[in-house]
Amino acid sequence: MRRKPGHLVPLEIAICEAAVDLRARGEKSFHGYELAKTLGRGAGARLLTAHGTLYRALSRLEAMGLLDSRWEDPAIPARENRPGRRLYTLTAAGEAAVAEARRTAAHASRKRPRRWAPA
Amino acid sequence: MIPGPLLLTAAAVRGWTWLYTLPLDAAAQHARRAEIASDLWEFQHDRTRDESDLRSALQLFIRAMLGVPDDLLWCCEQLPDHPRAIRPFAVIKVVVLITAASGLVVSANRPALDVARTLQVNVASTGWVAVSTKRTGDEIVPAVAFTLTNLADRATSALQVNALFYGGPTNHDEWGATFISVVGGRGLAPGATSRSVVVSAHGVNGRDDAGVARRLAILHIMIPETRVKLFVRHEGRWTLLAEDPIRPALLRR
Repeated sequence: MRRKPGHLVPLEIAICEAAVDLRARGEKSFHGYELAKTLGRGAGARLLTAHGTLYRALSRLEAMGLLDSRWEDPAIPARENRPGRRLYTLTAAGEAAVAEARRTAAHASRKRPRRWAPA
Repeated sequence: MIPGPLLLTAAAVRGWTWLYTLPLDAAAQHARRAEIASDLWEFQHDRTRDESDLRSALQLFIRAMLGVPDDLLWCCEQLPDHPRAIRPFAVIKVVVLITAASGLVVSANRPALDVARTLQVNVASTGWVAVSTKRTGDEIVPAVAFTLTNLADRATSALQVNALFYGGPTNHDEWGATFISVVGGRGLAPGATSRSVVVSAHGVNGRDDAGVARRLAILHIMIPETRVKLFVRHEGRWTLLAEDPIRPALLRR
């Protein structure tokens, strides 16, 4: 199935929303594993998002301009004796996409027909 | 210290990442490998996870396996002459076509099995069985009981046997021929022996009628010399496997 240009799939929306949540907690940028944990907690899932699925979605979001990425300063991982992290940041376009997705979801829930209660 | 299963699984994931990024340019290779290495390190050193080592290894394995289709699609998307996002069905079609084509090439290049040399006929008994039909009445017909053993180092295809009974006063009279499928489409495995088969000039099972046999027993001295040729059909080719005399004795099954 081909996707419409600019259309976000549920995982991409979830990633952008997780980025907004992380920012609200004071983390302006995040790495892949941290994001996978945040997504897992949000969905109440026991399994983390698959590597391929997660990093392919991040790559798409970056190509769409909704995320920005940079490698952290090499001095930090060297000091902490670990591999360097690729840090992602939600762009203004990403924030707008989240706002739009939330508006659409709210609109869809309003349009849902009411159930009649028994008299 | 990182426990064994988790370390092994992480190494396998790193190996898979190294493999599927091979067609990419150096920058893309390095970026993806470094990102997965970082993810694996974070997972292995995450103290908030409350799981056994084996469970962690299993989770990591499943996480990597579920992402394999996306890994491959992402890799295709990164190739320089990639015009637009490759559709998953197109990738699946290509994989199926390549698999089918390679299967055809392998089977076409494989030398045909020389069944004359590698298929052994084990004749258990030969003789005469009594049959009674509406068309011919009571009679005795030649019969042979046998199995086939595959002596080759690979399995056969389906095997059909044609048993041709001949002989009589002129030594050229044909008693009849019976065609039977001995081994089905699954073939006969190397070293395996087929089920036991009894064929007669009257068909596969030749009716075992004790009364007829008793009445015809006195005729056995008149039984002419008869032989049976067993031909096998394997992958569309007929091969003569064995030729045996039919004993001048009544068979009891």
